[in-house]
Amino acid sequence: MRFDVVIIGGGWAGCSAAEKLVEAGRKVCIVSEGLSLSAVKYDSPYARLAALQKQGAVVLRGDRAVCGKIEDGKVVEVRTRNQDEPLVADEYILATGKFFSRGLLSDKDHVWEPVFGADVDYDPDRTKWYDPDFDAPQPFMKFGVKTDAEGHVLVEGRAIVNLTAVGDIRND
Amino acid sequence: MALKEYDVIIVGGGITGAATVRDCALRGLSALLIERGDICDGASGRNHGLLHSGARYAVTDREGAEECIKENRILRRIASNCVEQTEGLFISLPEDGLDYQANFIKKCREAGIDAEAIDPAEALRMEPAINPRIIGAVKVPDASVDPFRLVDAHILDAQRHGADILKFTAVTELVKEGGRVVGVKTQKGDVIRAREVVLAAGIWTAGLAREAGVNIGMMPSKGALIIFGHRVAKMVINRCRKPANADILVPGDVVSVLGTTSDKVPIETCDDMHATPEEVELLLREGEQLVPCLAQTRIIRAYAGVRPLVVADPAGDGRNVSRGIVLLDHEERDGVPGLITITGGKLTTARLMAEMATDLICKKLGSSAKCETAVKPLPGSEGRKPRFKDPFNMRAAIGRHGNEVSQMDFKTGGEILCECESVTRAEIEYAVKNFGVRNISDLRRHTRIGMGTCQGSFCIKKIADVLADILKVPADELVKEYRQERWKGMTPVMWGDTLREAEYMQKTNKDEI
Amino acid sequence: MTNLEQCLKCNLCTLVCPMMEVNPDYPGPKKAGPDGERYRLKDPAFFDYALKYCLNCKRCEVACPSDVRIGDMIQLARIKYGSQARRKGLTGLRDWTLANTDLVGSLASPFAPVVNEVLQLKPVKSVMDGMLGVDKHRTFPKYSKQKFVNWFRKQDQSAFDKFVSYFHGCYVNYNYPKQGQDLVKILNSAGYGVHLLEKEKCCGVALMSNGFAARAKKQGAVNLASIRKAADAGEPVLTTSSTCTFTMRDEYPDVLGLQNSDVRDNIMLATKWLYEKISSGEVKLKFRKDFRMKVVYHTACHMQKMGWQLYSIELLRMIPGLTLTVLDQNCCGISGTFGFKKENYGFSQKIGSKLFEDIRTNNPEYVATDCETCKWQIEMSTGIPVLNPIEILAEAIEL
Repeated sequence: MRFDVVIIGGGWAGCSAAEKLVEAGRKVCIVSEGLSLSAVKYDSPYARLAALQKQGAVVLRGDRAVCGKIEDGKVVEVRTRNQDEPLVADEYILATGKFFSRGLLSDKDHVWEPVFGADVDYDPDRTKWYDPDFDAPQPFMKFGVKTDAEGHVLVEGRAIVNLTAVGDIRND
Repeated sequence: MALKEYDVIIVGGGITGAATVRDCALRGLSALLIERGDICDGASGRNHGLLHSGARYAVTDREGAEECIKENRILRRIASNCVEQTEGLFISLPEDGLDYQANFIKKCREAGIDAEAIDPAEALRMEPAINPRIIGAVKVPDASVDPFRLVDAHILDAQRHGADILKFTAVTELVKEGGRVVGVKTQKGDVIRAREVVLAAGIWTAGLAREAGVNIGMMPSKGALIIFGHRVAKMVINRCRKPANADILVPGDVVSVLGTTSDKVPIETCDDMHATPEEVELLLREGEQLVPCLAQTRIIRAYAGVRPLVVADPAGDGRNVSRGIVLLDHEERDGVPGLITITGGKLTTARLMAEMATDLICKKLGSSAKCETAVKPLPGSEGRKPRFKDPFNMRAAIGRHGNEVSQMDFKTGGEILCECESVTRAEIEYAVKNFGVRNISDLRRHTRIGMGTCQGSFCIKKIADVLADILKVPADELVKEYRQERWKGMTPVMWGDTLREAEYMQKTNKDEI
Repeated sequence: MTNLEQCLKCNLCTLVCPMMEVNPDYPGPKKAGPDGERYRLKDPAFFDYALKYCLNCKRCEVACPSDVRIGDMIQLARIKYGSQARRKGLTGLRDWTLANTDLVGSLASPFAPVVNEVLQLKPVKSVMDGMLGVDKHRTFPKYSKQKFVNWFRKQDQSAFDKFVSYFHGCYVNYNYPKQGQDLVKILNSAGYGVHLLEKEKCCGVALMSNGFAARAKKQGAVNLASIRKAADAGEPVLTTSSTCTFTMRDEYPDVLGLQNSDVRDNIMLATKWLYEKISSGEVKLKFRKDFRMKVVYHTACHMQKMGWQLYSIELLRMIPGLTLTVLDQNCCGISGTFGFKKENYGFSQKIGSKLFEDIRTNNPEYVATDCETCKWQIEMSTGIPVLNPIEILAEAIEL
């Protein structure tokens, strides 16, 4: 399926990006695996996504971006769990958030970004992921994918020119 | 201020002190239990929750094993609402061999423990989660015991028989007159007098005794444990080998508890016990040998307690030191009348320890009252266990508190406040009334509130509001204290889903959502 | 093993549960699912009979940020612990009748005119309401005089060189052959012949939800065997019911434990297959020039769970002359046989009210949806006729 922009993540950041693009008349597809925590703020949990859908955006609720294919420094397609056909677009936006929304995954020793294998900023020493004081700023809340000055996601050190990171998935 | 003089003061509100004050009260002595923190705040609340059958000690400590099986049978009767009759399995892996198993069964039987060899295939059918590489299994009468409920039940019964409980009050010194201990001085400066003072403060006993010029060689042995999110096995699972690290998995309430380590630690560290990332790694590595799916099972938190081991020579790692009961008559041992120490032992044998201590107290006081703790059921376990019935929100409470639910008002307090552990407002009100709490951490010990999968992420503010209203303190402070306390147990296991929960907790706390 | 572990207790599922909103006795997906499961693992006595209220709409699973199979967990618990809750006597008879769509359909079809008449009679309705507990507001879908399979036998498919298989389901076979006939016409006009499966049984969804999981599993195994044969012959198995599709693709492995990974991708809705064939240019349909229709599309719950509504929507958007409005994704409340039961009628209608309101506001000629039970519910509750997208397509093309 072809779109102008594929946005991965239907939370606050993904919806904000989508609203601007839909406004500008672009054909947008939003892959929204599960609700985002921001959903509790709206009148109804799907209010923002439903409004986007009404304006013509395709919203894949409950679908998950499984893997993005990169060729020559550009994303060429994204595959999802529920669709047989890949999603193809000119631009891709990564708005999957941090750990809670599974934009970042972790095990005892690693943190990684599961869709594109983007470069992730984190401390390899797990004891430095957290501050023992609950109320202190927590280092893991700053973990995220690395981007260049324009917000393009870095994969193996190289900026992917049609993949932009927005929201919590960023390392800032 | 003139305070009442007691027959006996017991210092320490763990299981040993609680069982002792109950025994004293049942024998008609006027008794006071004094505890610096909350009931069950020390090692009694930081263990496996395993009601030993004695099998674990059968090979190395015949006497300890016999004590265990005897007390195991008694507790199943008198504390039926605290004990879940899960039974236990000792499994042998190829590297353990079967020689140990043969001797193990023989020694168990000699100690009076029913040990039945089970075909590995049958064992796997009974417990599909255990390591499929097993070459042998032995079924023993281990059980799961809720240590918090067990201590609470003792405290309640003591109170109902006239004993006083003084919590959140530290004993700063033992008061001596003419070489005799005649009472205790509290942090507030009060002197409370008694004819006998019993030290039952676990590892903290040595410090108190030293003040009175009595030297007890104690060795703090740290044990770290991990809590997994749900029950992965129905029975207690042990390794059938010489006792070692992380070889027991206990189904406790709705979680599984894996432990322990055993390391000698400096006494100064005992007030701030927490599991380290290294201990977590070790526990996981060994635990996966018992039950492989633990590698994928959500870890809720890790924690640690201190065993109060008594040694003549404080060296070694603690595992080979006797964990037997130590009753010291300081009049005889050190020429300090009025002072008794009861320590060592295990959660399983605490009632027996209390009986021994109270026998000695009675002898000193000239009382001939007989011990009844082995036959009188504890509160919650009296009469027939209430049947599960609607409303559904009472079921978890019935399972935990037994007949004590009759003291709770589910009509007005039926709302479930902690959803993971299914704790209602009625249980909170009951706990505040019967045990007195300062904060949510205290409330947790008496209700399980916030002990579940989310560690209070979701429900804590609701709970804080309810408690703040009762205690007339700011809800924010209650939340802050509890968050920090839970964080301590989460950080050593903070990866994967626990890290996701941590982010959620941080965000809900800051009201970002 | 269900992944109750991953539940972070964020409660987002409870925001979307249609039953929780209307029924205070239903504990909601989180408590009924992952929370309850921890207790059921401790002691099966913790099974809560209120789990019967779960609609199995899977909206909780769609909303879950942790991918917890909440709905499956509840279904599995009902199967594992709830069997003793099965009602005896007349309610038991009712549940049995509602569950056995296949068997009851075969019995009723030969007597369709009589059965239809009788089921419409007021006294019969009040007896069913009072004694059997089938709500009197409900009208049983009429039984067809001629079963779909009997009609199909007369259709000559020998002229084609490309074939697809069609899983028609109980509703098309016993109640509404037109939907199947329309699909056959479309496929034939697209140059594809149609085969039926060697053996087709009811997908089993009604059996599962009424506590007859073992029977559902047996029937599922029969279906999968036939689907495998179709797959071996290189034929996709097309369906026109979103719930049958979802059941065979996802409930078979996740709830009934039937392994289907080899053929899961082979089972698909006809709308998805057609959309993909048309998009790739392999199939060309000729549309009528004079076709005009004002339609709103309702996403059935299982359609949403599969994430396939976009195919039906995009397929409808290809039809010239069709004005399409996509409705907000709300549950209609019927949930298969659930809404037929007297004790559930009130909940059913309350849940559906948002959707009915949305439909009425749009004032369409027709409502389009891929689920037959949504169709009954919407027609009964709004009086507006409901069509499957396939029927609309059949009407819109030149045959």
